[in-house]
Amino acid sequence: MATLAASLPTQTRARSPQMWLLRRILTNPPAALGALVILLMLFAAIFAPLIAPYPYDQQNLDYIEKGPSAAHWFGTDGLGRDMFSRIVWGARSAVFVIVMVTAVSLALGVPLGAIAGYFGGWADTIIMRAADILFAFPGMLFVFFIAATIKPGIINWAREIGLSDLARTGYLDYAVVIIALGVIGWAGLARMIRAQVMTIKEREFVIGARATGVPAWRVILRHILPNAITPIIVAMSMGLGDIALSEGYLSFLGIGLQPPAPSWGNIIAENAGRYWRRFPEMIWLVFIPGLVLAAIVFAFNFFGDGLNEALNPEIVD
Amino acid sequence: MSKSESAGGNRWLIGVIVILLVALCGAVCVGGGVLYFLTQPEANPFAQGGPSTGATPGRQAAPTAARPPATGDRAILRLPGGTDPRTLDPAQVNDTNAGEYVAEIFSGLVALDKDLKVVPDIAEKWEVSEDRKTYTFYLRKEVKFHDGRPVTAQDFKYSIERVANPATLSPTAENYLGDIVGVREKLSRKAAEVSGVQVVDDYTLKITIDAPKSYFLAKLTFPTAYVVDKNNVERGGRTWTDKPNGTGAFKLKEYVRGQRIILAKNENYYGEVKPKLEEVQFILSGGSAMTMYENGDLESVYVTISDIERIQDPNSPLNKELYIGPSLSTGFIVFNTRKPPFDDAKVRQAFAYAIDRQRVIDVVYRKMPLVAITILPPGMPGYAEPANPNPYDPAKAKQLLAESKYAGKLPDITWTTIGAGGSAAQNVQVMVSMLQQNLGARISIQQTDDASFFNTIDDPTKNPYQMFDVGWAADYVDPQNFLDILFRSTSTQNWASYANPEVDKLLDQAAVEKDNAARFKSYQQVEQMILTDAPVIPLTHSREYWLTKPYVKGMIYPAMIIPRLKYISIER
Repeated sequence: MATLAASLPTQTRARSPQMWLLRRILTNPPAALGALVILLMLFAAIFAPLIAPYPYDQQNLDYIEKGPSAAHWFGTDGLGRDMFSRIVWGARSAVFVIVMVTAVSLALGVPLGAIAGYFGGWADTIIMRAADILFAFPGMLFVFFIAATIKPGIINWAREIGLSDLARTGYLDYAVVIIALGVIGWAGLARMIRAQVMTIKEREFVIGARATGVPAWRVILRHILPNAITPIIVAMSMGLGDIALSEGYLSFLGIGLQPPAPSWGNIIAENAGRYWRRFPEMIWLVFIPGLVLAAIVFAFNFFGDGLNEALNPEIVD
Repeated sequence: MSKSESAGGNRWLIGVIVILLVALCGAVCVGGGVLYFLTQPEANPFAQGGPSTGATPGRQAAPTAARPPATGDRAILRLPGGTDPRTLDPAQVNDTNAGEYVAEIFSGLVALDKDLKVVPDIAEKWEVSEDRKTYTFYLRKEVKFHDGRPVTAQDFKYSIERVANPATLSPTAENYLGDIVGVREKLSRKAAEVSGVQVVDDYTLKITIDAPKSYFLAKLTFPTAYVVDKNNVERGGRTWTDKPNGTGAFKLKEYVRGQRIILAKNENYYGEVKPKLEEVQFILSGGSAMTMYENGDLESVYVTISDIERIQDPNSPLNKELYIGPSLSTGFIVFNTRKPPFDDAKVRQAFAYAIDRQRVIDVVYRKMPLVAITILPPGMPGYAEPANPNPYDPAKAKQLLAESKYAGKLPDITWTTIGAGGSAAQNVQVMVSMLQQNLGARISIQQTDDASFFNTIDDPTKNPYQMFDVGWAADYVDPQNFLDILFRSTSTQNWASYANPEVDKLLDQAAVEKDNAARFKSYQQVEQMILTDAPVIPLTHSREYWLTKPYVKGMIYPAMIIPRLKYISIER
């Protein structure tokens, strides 16, 4: 025991940067709590069919609007469906949207921001004005606009090319939500990347790389982006909660996932629309999905904060 | 480091508190805030003359600010107005929302009374020719527009010519006035004038129709046939309805879009029943209508599904103020008979047997509407009590499906419905689940906004929807208004693209049958044939649920839009 304890400090020093980062986050209670909630959500999303005690759309019209009980932890809704199962399945749509939107905004935002920052000039002007235009729009309105104008087109097009089955399933609606959110998301990301790239490209090691004739794309990929990525990771992890919230809004307004498929947004919509006048009766039907959604948003923010503190230790004092 | 930890600890605690607080707000605000959009009031769940969703369980209230002004001792009636009316031009009205105002501001040759009977209005009497094709109307001599100009037969001629003018783009011209000789010709630009309308003298008007149709007078009660003032229309340009010069019991005093419509008493009204209210204020904004009513800011309010159980409790003080009455409407599930699998009547019949309608009404609609088994609503002449009050029979449904050509290979189906975020689709979800359980049908739900929904179903020949739900409210009290308009193969409102030559033939016969008893009998026969073919499943007959303050006397809640405000008074 004594030898083990004595060897600890050396081991700590020898940890990899990743382990060091993990430790910094886990010793920061809000960040750890955030990480826990996020992990829970991921777990629920991945294992939804195993966790959920009932199918998410199984109705029991003889057992509607019942409060939480041993058989139904979160009670049942107006159609006698198990709220716990619906909320667990809702995690799946939230995670799906978070992953997809992040992928779309990264795919657009990182190259566009890097090009704008590295080359400057007219490329910068065009890309950044496009980003300004996206910023000038109220975000949700823009998403509505895209969903209202593009969605019918996509669905008709899918029908025409023989994908009528796909058009019918409602996954295309989902694709539209994802594209719309991604199209909004890239603008902020591109701005951040651009600012980072502009500072880093003046550093000696970048100038050195360029002086030795390394091509521009390689300079960006190998020398600039790895050094620009830290603040991006922090900002994105904080933004993920907003994406989950946006998905909630969109489903709430009927643009997202179609019922009976559960998303936290349409669970709130379905129940808020019906029970808000009867508050505080049936409070669990609106309160629990609201709590879950709020918890996720906070979890991402806390986690992002913790990440920020861990990656930029100088701001701690 | 220790400094940072204590800061972290505090934040942790604050975080938990904030999470709890925000969850409360989150639920209420994500709900409540955006609900603001969502609950654009379905103040009229059944559009008149045009379709609307029959599936909306109840109505929802309009949000926003400003309390309406207190009325003091003046005879002022304040009513929830819902959304802004789409138009105040009688030629353009095809929904109940606009119809409610237009019926008070304007009037026509004939009107519906409280019992929905056709009675003389501007025409004091009329004669019908031997062949029942020519109507001679004798106009009252004392009728004046709001500005004092006397109404003559020329004004009616002008009004009908205007509606029939294709440039007016009246959505109802053909349906309501198309029986008049020459209206269809003028609409299709084959004639410059409507030959069937003749001015005999200033106070005599002769109208000729194409066949002896018993329901013709009933159609004239609809706003399309109301009289408008030529000077008003031509000088007012596109915005003439901002200052409508009508003949009705009330005049438009003030209209602030999104806020209020104020009607004032017409002191020179010609009718026997004089208006008693000084003013009627329709509040287009302002919180939940129910809350406003309970605060004494409205004299009358419709009841939504969120409030119905509370109000039906006999111990509630509001219970004594509750009125429940019929409305002449039916909500349907419609099958597109051009689209597989609904091109096979057996599949449609199977679906009809597989849905427990009573259950849907009990659970989702909280028993607010009546279950519909027939197409015609109760109260409509020709309505026949259904033999089986709830034809729910899963075994028979399975058997019918097995006999169909889609036995064992029923394709995936999409059910299109108006709604957002699942709030409107609960009824559909229940029925989808019943169909899945009883028939193994795989049905997905597609929600859409009401504008594109109606645009799509208004063109049945191109409608891509497989199945959808929609409601129909009576425009005039005659079974023709349901059976002929919705199920004749050539009708533009034949949503199901239903085509049965026998039904068409019977409809033709019924249209010109002189004896009402025989006529209603043929319509019952038609209804039976349609129900057997099942291009639609009737689901609900709506009922009106209203609360009214006890000091409002003579309040009526007609099953259709009629000029009703003149019957109402306030006695404190």
